[in-house]
Amino acid sequence: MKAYKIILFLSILVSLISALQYTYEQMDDSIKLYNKSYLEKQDYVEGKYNGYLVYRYYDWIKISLPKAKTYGILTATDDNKTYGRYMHRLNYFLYPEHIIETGTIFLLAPKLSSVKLYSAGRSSYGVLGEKKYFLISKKDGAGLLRLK
Amino acid sequence: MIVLRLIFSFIIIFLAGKFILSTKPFSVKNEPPSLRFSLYFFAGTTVISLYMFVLSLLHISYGALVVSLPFILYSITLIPEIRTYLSNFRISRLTVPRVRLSLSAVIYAVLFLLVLAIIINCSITPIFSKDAFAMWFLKARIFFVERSIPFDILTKPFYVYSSPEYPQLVPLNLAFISICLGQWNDILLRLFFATGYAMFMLFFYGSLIRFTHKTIAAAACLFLLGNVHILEYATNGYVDLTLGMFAAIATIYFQRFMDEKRSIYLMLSSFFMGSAAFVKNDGIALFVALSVTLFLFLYLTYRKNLDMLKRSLIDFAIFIFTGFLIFMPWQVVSASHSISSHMIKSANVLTTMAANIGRAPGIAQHFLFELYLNTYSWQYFWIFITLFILIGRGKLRASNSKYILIFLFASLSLYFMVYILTVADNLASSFHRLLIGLAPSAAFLAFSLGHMEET
Repeated sequence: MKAYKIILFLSILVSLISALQYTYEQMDDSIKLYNKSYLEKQDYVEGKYNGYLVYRYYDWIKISLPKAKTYGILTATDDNKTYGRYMHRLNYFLYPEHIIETGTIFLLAPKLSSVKLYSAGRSSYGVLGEKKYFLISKKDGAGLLRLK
Repeated sequence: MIVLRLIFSFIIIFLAGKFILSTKPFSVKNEPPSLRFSLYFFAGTTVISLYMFVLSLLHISYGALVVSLPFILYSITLIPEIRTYLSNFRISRLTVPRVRLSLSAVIYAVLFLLVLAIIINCSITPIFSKDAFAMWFLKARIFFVERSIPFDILTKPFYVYSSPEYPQLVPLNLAFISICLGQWNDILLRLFFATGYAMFMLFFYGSLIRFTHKTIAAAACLFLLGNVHILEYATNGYVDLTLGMFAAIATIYFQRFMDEKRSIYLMLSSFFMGSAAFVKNDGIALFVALSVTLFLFLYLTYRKNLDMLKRSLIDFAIFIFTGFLIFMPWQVVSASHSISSHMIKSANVLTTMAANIGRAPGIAQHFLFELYLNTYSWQYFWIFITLFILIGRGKLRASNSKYILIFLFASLSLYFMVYILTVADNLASSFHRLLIGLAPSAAFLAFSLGHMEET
């Protein structure tokens, strides 16, 4: 009986601490993000929980890429996890306009903050994202674009 | 306007739940209102997803009205009931409980704060987790855009990472909410998970007070739903906790069936465990584990009475059939579209097991590590659960609760077998999540044992 009460008390104590800590963090995030744009919110949660920022590119990619083509994504590092993460997010955000395929060529991009896309069907096509600028190969009729 | 559309979609889900839980085989009319209300949500998600699945098979394109119409029509039949309720409703009858500073008052306040924080956060921040993008929200988005389940898209090889063979309860519900919203909004969609969390809290508390007293029931809610690992998975877009909540509802009704021997509880248990198997394939393991436990219970209870044993076999068959009715259609249809698991490749299970048996010690070691030593994810959850069960072992032996423990061990054993069979080495990234499926049932067992020790 005494042992039961001690264990019960300890379990409540541990739960109270973790619940209050979680409540504080959630409220803190909510206050910080209230009134921010969607992409700013995505950047914040990605940066906080996953440690990288990629969302600012998506809107731009969505309007820039020729439609109805399949693309392979080239990752910022040769790390398979990062590759997968980019691919998953791009496929989610770009559906149904574009599909990012797995198993295409890997190239190393110089920084984590950059995204390269490569067209599986047209090797001449390339997109390079570097900081806030994207360069599209001139064959596809675009030049240097700046993100909003 | 968008908030009204959101509210509309949730009303339809609740109506769908009320519809199925008002039918004779699954009737919950004897349950307290709060328990009924929470069950409507979970049952409603099952009904909506199954209905949308059938619509897709019939090549009927999803639309807000197409999906909602049967439940809107059903709501007309509720008008007399609502009228009676409103005519009996008097504000003066509502009593404000006197708040005294006590341990239970503090726990209630923290639980309220938790729900509030989750709802506010879910209505402000978008999804960010890997599986939410890769699997659940991607599929929901595809269903929303295509207005059906497009097997030709799901079967494309580059979507293999999103596990297209997984059941579609959650993606279909997310797609339904989006269709009602008229737009894709992955911020508001997180409220689906927040509502599930809040409804389960209501259900878990309401169920536990049948087995123990209020303070322990509230403590159990805080212990389970205030655990940092559970909280992380409550709203991050993974469906492991949704699976766990369905499994726990099934477990609790299974306990009530064993205690009261009423078939209705077995039907409810089967319905919700079948739903768990329609949330995620892991739920099939839980369904099998509960079926084995039920068989064991029926055999050991009625083995000296052949007539009763024969009759109980009918109960067993109904249990299996009801569950199958919910999760098997998807399994059959996905198999017919050649959507197979990318995790288990071998056709010969026995050969694969024999070849991989050398992995068993490593898997067992990881199980123990995750349960008792990995305080980063689960903190001290499983240590406390074990201690509660050890302290309550007297009641465990004397009551039917021992079958819940058997169910938990059977589930772990099945998971163990699946890890031996799987091709991918995903133990470290998945086992801590599989435990989320069992945690609510384990917490129910641990805290329901408390009553005897307390009195």
